[in-house]
Parts: sequence; structure tokens; C-alpha cells
Amino acid sequence: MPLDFAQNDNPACSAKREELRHLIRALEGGEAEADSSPARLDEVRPERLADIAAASLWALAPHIAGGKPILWVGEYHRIMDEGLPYGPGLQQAGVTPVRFILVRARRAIDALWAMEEGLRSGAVGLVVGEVADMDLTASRRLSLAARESGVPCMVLGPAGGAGAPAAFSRVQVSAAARDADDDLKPYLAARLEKHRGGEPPATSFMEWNDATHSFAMVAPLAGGTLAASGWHLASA
Amino acid sequence: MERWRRQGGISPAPDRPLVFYEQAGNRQLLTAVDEAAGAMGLRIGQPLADARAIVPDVAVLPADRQADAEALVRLARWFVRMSPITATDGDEGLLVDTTGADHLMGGETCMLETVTGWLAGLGISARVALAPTRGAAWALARYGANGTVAAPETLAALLAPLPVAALRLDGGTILLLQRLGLKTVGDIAALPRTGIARRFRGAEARQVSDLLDRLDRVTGRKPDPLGALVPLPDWRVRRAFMEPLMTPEGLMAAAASLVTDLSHALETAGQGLRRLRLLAFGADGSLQVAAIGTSRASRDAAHLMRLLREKIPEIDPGFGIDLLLMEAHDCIPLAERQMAAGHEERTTEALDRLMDRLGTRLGQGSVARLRHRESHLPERAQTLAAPATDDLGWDRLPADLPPRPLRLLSRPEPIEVMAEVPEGPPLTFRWRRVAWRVARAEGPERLSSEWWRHDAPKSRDYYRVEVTAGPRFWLFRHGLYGVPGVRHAEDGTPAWYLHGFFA
Repeated sequence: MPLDFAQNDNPACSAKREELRHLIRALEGGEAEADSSPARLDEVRPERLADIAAASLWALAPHIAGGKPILWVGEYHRIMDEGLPYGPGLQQAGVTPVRFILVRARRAIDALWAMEEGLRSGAVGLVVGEVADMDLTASRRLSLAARESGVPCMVLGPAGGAGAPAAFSRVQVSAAARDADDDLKPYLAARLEKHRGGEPPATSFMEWNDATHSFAMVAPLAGGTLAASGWHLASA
Repeated sequence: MERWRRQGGISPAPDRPLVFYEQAGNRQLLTAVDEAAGAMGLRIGQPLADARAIVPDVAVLPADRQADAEALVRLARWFVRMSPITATDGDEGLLVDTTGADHLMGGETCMLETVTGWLAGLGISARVALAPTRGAAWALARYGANGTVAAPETLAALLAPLPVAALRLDGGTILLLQRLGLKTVGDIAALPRTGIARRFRGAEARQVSDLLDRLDRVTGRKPDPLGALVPLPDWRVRRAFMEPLMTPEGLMAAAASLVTDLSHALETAGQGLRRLRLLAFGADGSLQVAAIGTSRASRDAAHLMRLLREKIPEIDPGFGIDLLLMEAHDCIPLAERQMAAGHEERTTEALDRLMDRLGTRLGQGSVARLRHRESHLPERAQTLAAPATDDLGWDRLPADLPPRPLRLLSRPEPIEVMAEVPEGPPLTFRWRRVAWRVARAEGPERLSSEWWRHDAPKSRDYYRVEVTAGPRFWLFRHGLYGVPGVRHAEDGTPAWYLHGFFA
């Protein structure tokens, strides 16, 4: 968790903050990579079980425009509990279900193996892992596999879980209610909890744009802008 | 008897003659006798009461026909090491089609000796014979000299002295032949064929024509193919080891060289396999099988070996593996690989390989594609299909479909509606012990049941609801309320379910 100097305007503190960011980026394997390459391990987590669809859409959103296959790995009991990714809904969100390869693994270790295998196969454009909490070693392996193969990996953690320690970023997503009386399109609160690029924790409200099949920020409550923070979100 | 001994059976009285019996109708008949009992005049088929009268202190055990049959099938599978075409025959026989296999074992006589040796090593005494037809082999093994090898030209001479029972006739026919004074196969073969059947009437005529048919099969005048016990492979390579393989590494290396052989054979033939089986024959008579499947036909040795590497550790070398067979099944023509395959093609190939690897390690059912099926019921509109499915049907999804959730529960979950209005979504409901208050709703979307199905006779009214806490659910009411003067309520009280999650 990066130290948060954001609220402090003292120039010395600001310089310190820049230095720290550089250090973190260097640790992550190079400044350019940390900032621009999406091929890394990120985590998204629903706040409640009922937010699973919002979190799923969040995981898919940056990759909707692409055409490469998506390997969706889930632990069997979680997929049964939270529902299968549903083709008609995916199609309406702009991602054709033809791209999906669904793996339902009986054991956590099989799911992690399938994710790494998918990352290293060079056959898919995104690996989503709907898995339970993993230890540092497992998440480091996935992070390394993602970086080496150039394929992004998204861990879709369980609600209230501790997550993947080596993930580059972690976002907690919850569906939000709107008082507006327009139609029921996806609208969610995304809380950035961790960002190794040094972004401070922040919560943003994102609205789904049906025409562009992407999220657009509605009203940032705190912290910097998301579009500039390497979250790979297309702005409307 | 021998199976019982091999499996370490303990006689109730070790120093007395032993017999096995089974219940046949209201009688108990002997099914097996040991040497001591045989020497005292006990015979298979004798009633148990008679046997007890002859040898009062005989030890008696019930027969286990099922275990006997299972042991025989196991043995037949094991003989796949000689030839892929093996079958069990009756309660106690094995048939192996060794066409083309004898030279691998040093000629026909040598092959029979080897087989007898194997069986003796397993604690099985056997009578063996080799003949050009299945019927002749059956006859010679039972009624000829043990180890007889019959060639087509010597077959008639070898068969002639055998009793007519060697033709596998039923009791009635044997009786008929005895009445006619025909005692040996040679006697029947010598009869003038023309018109012999015409001399009999009724049941006897049928018996005689059966007899001639049987004779023709035995002498090879009519074909008598052997139905194989196991599916026949399209290609097969084998490797026998003088020194049995004892280590997993040795097994892996041997499998790799077999895969290379098989892949060369397939390449020459322009074929690719969909399934591959590796059969490991243990020196102790065991047989273990590792099988893999590919989503698309392949003959790529590296890919196949990668899949096999997942499965080979399941084979336990035990006391050593002395023979490996590798079989290619479901082969289809496969064009020469284009070396300059386009990027698209290479991606597809990489995807197929990924799915093969996942399926091999996790089980074929664990890897699936999403497929669209035309159905009114949302849970039937998507099915899971095998990885290699080409037509997933999503282009047929109606463009004007009302909004569908991103995640769908395969089984709708009942919710407890705490406040509702008659025609509309619930106001508050409880799902998984949490109460939600509906803020906004869209609907209903009425999905009528597939009336030709009996298990879903009621309509569903679907609502998209947004609860005050944020999440958006897909709820439905199962069954309609009655409207006075318009329609009756569908049977039962309408129940509410949660079926999916919207983002």
C-alpha cells in the first residue's frame, strides 16, 4: 500500500512522493512497463455477492473491444454459487460469448494451474480467474506469467476476501443505485484499494455507456483521475 | 478353482478334497473339482448330493460365477498384448485373432508355448490350439491334442477324428447324430451335402441345417468373424522390453519414442488421431491404460507427448512393465501441415492445444464453450458445449432480446417475498437471508413455457429490479395470478425466484 501524501501540499513531501513512486515502479520492473503495459495481474472484487455481475463487467470492460479469446477460470463451487457468465447478457454488453472458454476447476490449485497455462499458451487475450484467496507465491507466479507472456490476468476475488497479494492493483466494485429515473444500466462504485503505481486510494462512480461498451466516470469523490492512472478505461 | 487359488482362497478343510457348486433350479451341481476330488470320481455337473454320497468328507464352497466372468474379461483384455482382437468365449474360453502376430513371437508353435507359459505363470492351466477358423480352434483346444497348430491344408485331417460335440452342438443334435451312427466330425464331413437337409422334417431339419452351417464355419467355407472385446484402434505401435521398465522416467522415455513412431506412421498415412491410448502390460499380468483425447485431430508428437505427460504418472510400474502398446483411435484424414500458416490459424491451433491440455489435466467436462440454443427459457438458451464445437450459435441470438443478466444461476433460487402488489414486482424480498427493498423495476417480460414440455407448465413474468442498496437482480414470478373474468390462476400459488445478476 503506497503511502498517501496526496493531501499534503508541502513541496518536500511532494518530492518524496515522486521519489517513492519511482522506487515502486522500478521494483515493478521498469517505469514504462508499470505504466503502460496492461499485461499484469490485477484484482477486482465484488463488495457483496450481489455485486458479482458488476465486478465481472469491470474485469471484462477493458477487453471488450478486442477479439481474442477469453479464458474464464472459476472454482466450481463459486461459479455455481454466483452463476455462470451468461452469453445473451455478454453479447448485449458488447463481448461475443464465442470468445469465452470456460474452465470449472474442482480444486483451487487446478484453477491456478489453468490460469497460468492460459497465460503462457499465447492463445488468449485475457485470463479471468474467479478463485479464492491465493498466497504470495501463487500470485507472484501469475504476475510473472502475465508479464512474460504479455497477457493480462484479472483475479475476480470473492466478496470480502483478502485477495492476491502480488496483484498490481485491487479494486472493490459495488453496484450503485441511481436516483435518476432513466433506465437500469450498469452503474457502479469502484474503490481503488491498492495500486503499485502509486495511485492513492480513491472511489469513483462509473456509468456504462451502451454505445461504446465502456465505463465512463461520473463523479469522482476523491483522489486523482482514473483515466490517467493506468486502469485502461476508455473514457466516453 | 484356479482363480480362487490365485486369489489366496482358504479351504475350509485343507487336507480334504474340494469342490465348488452352484444352485441350478432346485438342484445343486458341482462347477469345479480339485485333483483329489477328481481322483475319487467326482465330476463337474454332478449333483452335490451325489458327490457327498461318494466322498462324505468333501469340502464344499459356493461358486462365484460373476467373479469368474470378470477374471476372464480381465484376462481377455490382457491378451490385447498379442493382438487387438480378443474376446471371451463362453464361461471359460478366450479367443485371440493372431493373424499377423505370430511372427512377432517366433512362429506359431512358439507362440502357443509362450501363451501356455504366461498362463502357467499366472497360475492358470490352459489348453491351447491355433487354427484358421474360430470354430476349429475351439474344437481343437477342447478335443484335440493340447498345442495343436492347424494350417488350412491340415485342418480337415485334424478335425476328422474329433467327436461331433467338437462342433459345439446342442444335446438334441448330438443325440440325433448318435442315432444315425455319426460319431466323429469326419463322419459328418463325409456325408453327401446335396439333399441331406431334405431328408429331415420339422425340428430335425433345422438341427441338420444348423449342423451344416456350423461345419462350414469350422472348415472356413463360411466366414466366422470374431467380435472384438475392445474397440479396435486405427493404428498401433508396440514396444516390448527385455528388462521390464521399473521407473516412471523409463516409462516416460519409452512413451516418447512410441509417440514418435506413431506420429510417423500417421504422417505417412496423412491421418490425425482424436484419441490415444497407452496400454502398459505389467510383468505380473496387470494391464494399465492411460488415455488422452484431442479436440481436433493431431499427429504432432510434441503436443501428444505433452498431454500424455499428465496421464503417465497414473501408471504404476509395480513389478515392471514388459510391453507398451500405443493405439490411435478415431483417426481422420489430416492435411499436410502448412508451414506458412496464417496468424489466425496459428492462434486457433494454440487455442486447441490449450483446451486439450486443460481437458487432459482437469477432465474433459471441466472445459467448455458457451453455446446458444433457441429456447424461451433463459437457462436453456445457453448450454455448455465441448471445446471443439464449431457452431456456437450466438449469431442466431435475437437482436431485439430484452436485457439479459451478465451472470445467470443455473438453478433459479426461491426468494421470500415480504411485500408485494398483485400484478407487479415485489416491494421487499429476502434472498440468501438478506432483505432487499426494491427501488425501481422494469417489466414484466412474460416468458411462456415451452408448452410441449411437461416439466415446465407455468409462465414466468420476469422483472429487472434495482434495490435501494444498488444491486440489480433478475427476478421472476412462476405462475400467473387469476384475473376475474379474464383467466383462471395457473395452478398453485405463484412463487418468486431470483435468476440472475445485472451489472
